[in-house]
Amino acid sequence: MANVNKRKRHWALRLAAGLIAVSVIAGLTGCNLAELNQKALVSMIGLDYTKNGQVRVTLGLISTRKMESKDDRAVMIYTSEGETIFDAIRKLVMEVGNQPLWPYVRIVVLGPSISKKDVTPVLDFFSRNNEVQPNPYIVLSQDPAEDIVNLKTDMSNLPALIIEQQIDNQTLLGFAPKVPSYQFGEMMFTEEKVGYAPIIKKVKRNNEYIPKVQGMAVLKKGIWKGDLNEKETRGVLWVKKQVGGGILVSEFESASFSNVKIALEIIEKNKATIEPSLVNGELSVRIRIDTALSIGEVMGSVRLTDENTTELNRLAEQLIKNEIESSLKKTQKTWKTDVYGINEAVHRKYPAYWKNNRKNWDNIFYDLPIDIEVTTEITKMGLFR
Amino acid sequence: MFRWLTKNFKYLSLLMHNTTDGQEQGGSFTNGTNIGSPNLPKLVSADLNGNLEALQACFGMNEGVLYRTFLAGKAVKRPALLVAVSGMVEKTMINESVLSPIMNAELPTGKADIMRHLRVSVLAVMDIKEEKDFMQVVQQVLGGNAALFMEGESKVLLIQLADWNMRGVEQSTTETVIRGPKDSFNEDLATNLMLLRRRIHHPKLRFESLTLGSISRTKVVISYLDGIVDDAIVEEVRKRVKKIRMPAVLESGYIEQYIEDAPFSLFPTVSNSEKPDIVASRLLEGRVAIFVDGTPFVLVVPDQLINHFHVSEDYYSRPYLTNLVRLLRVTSFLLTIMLPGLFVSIIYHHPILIPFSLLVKLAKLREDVPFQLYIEITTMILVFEIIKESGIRMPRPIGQAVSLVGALILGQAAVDAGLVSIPVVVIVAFSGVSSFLVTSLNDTISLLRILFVLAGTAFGLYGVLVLGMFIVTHLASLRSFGMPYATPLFPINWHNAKDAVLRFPLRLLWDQRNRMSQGAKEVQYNRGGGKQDGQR
Repeated sequence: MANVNKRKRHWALRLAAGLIAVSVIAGLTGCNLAELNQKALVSMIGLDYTKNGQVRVTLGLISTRKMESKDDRAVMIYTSEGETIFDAIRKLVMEVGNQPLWPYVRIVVLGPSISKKDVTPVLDFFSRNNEVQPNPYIVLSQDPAEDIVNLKTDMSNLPALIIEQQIDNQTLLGFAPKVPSYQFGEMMFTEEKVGYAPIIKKVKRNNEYIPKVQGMAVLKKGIWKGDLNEKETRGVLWVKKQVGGGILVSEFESASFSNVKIALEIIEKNKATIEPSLVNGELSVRIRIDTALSIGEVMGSVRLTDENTTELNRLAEQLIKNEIESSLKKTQKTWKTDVYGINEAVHRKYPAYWKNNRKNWDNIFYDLPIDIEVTTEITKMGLFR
Repeated sequence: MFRWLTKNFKYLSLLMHNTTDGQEQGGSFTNGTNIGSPNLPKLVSADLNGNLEALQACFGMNEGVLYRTFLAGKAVKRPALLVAVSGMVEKTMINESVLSPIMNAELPTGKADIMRHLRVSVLAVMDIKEEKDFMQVVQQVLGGNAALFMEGESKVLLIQLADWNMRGVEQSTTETVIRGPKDSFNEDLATNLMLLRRRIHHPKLRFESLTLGSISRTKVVISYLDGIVDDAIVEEVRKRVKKIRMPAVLESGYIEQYIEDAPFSLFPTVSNSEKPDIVASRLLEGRVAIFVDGTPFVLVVPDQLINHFHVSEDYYSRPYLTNLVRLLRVTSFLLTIMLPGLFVSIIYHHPILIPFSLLVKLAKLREDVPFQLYIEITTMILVFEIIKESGIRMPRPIGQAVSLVGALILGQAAVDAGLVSIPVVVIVAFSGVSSFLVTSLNDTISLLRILFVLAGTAFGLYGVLVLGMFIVTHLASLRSFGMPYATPLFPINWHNAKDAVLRFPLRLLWDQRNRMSQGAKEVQYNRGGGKQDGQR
């Protein structure tokens, strides 16, 4: 009978232990919970330095109340200053009342006061914070970031969404790069700190300013060196395999296409290879670009035959080559910035060479003979025959 | 975890059995129970008046017990007594086939066996037995027999004339079909057995009868197809059913709770059905059915989880839509138990997973709601259960009106008043509606849903995952009468997978069934390490 009692107690003990465990676990959780309506959704961040060296953070907080109003912006702008970004953001609780919810940040705008000084200090927050996602787009601006966050847009009452679309849909155009924060971090946390980011501008429309994403800012040592225009930007993107679309248009100076403008559409993501070759200690690079085109529009009258289509291909190849060369003129000869990633290709193919010459890469890049080879294929005529 | 629960449960039940051990099942009323008077004879006596007095003492004040004393025989007259219970026997048959022939019979004189004579050449009734045990006679009379006593004979003729009013064979209310037989079992055991026999005209269809319940004396029939069924299963069913000790069996659920493998599991390891065609098909698969007198619900063992996702119509209609619907059943089962939990865990712990535009909408809708989300959603789930339960219990005439008020007006008013947010109503309503695709697991679903909400609130997706893994592990550990409960999913059994989540065309399935029927040993189920003696 004693044995029976023991078993009985055993059973009761285990049950009690189980119940206690469950209730403790359930009790532990309450404090972590935060409901959606107790958090402020951040859509866009603007970063500037103030005159006395503090960080000014401008947040575009989504106002769920105003989401349905068509005229007004559904964003409330809050600005806060602090010694660091994190400090400034925490101080915002005093004004907003709620904790910001970071995962939905779409756009990070870096103002000129930061990009002309050094962008790397402010990037740490975006890779360290566990709530910030690695995918908001980085944009640089010549105007203070605060002004950019303050802009209104016509198509949506959330400007961040429009700017995101403007960057996303560059795949149809190729006039601005698409740089998520993780990629920007990868560029900036290298030794050379060479990288690029799209440029955001405010343009006037109906007495109001709207944002416009256009061109590429090239950075070296974390500092904004200079801009590339649309064609030059695409020149870089060709090599980076990031041209997914766009229009090549020209009035071709050729016998068979006189007085005719032809717009060629880039119809698939281009291929590109960078082939370094080391002969007798002399490094040279060959860049091969491969892309497919279709004829989108012919302004003028020309009869397309097999012969002049081949000729058109050659002309288009020259166009692409010109774009790349014009970008090289600035990046290679003016700023000595290897935004193309040629250094990685060299590193991969000639590790020993790279080891000896990595410190001197800027100068080697400056003198590097780069041979560009473009192959295009016009696969669609755009008309039924 | 369940193992030690089961162990302790067994131990408890052992204790209970020890205290009630004096209660012998096969014995008479007088033992163990306090029913009946102590001084009843063991055997039928030759004295007619003695028998009458003993019977009257036994039945006591008992409206409806008919005693008819008369003189049997035309020339040679002998006093006789006919006892029956009014309403359980057919009176016209007694008059025409029993009383009248006996009164007009030429009774043999001398030492001839008069009972044998009556049985053989006088009574025009199919089912007649001789009986000497007095208590047996009393029981048979209560079971719808007429008992014929004769002066000077220490035997009784039990004449089977049972006939009582019963609900007819009607459409099933719990398992409705569009295509397929509409009849369902009713409360009469004989009718139920008849319905099954009419499905399977084969001599190997066996019905083993036994009586359960020391007071109710309920007839229970174990049915199987000899040659298809695995003998070990039948033996296990017999063993478990015979072990049952209880005063009354009013429904097959009583038996189910005594013979199931895992009494502490949320999942039922014994299935039930009230449709003869379903029971027939289960028998053809090599399962065992347990009929209980007085209920239309027939138990079928062994039960597999996947059976709950199958409907008889799956086999009657063509396989294309059937397979889509079966997939929907599985998905909606998963959704109905997990959706509220997932919703809560994502909102609380992983708002990143919500698409941006949806998040903005959700945040907006949650803005004015006063309560915490998990309180809101648990309350709504409970409200749904209340509406469901009241819908079942309400008297039918007011039922529809009130459930309409409950469901529509209550929900709408709660949203309008800002007590509940619309997404919560949508989610609870959806998961509530989709629970009815797998009706037979409804109890399980309702409880699991709440568990998932708690797990999701406390630990987020991690909690939902761990609880899900716990359930899957538990399912894999369950067995029903020696068969793995989750087969053919785990352990994987490709042969049976032909009719698991998807149903293959019948030609392929019948191929499988024919093979089963070729020999008892080739039963389709892999016993998967189940102990041969059927130890739980």
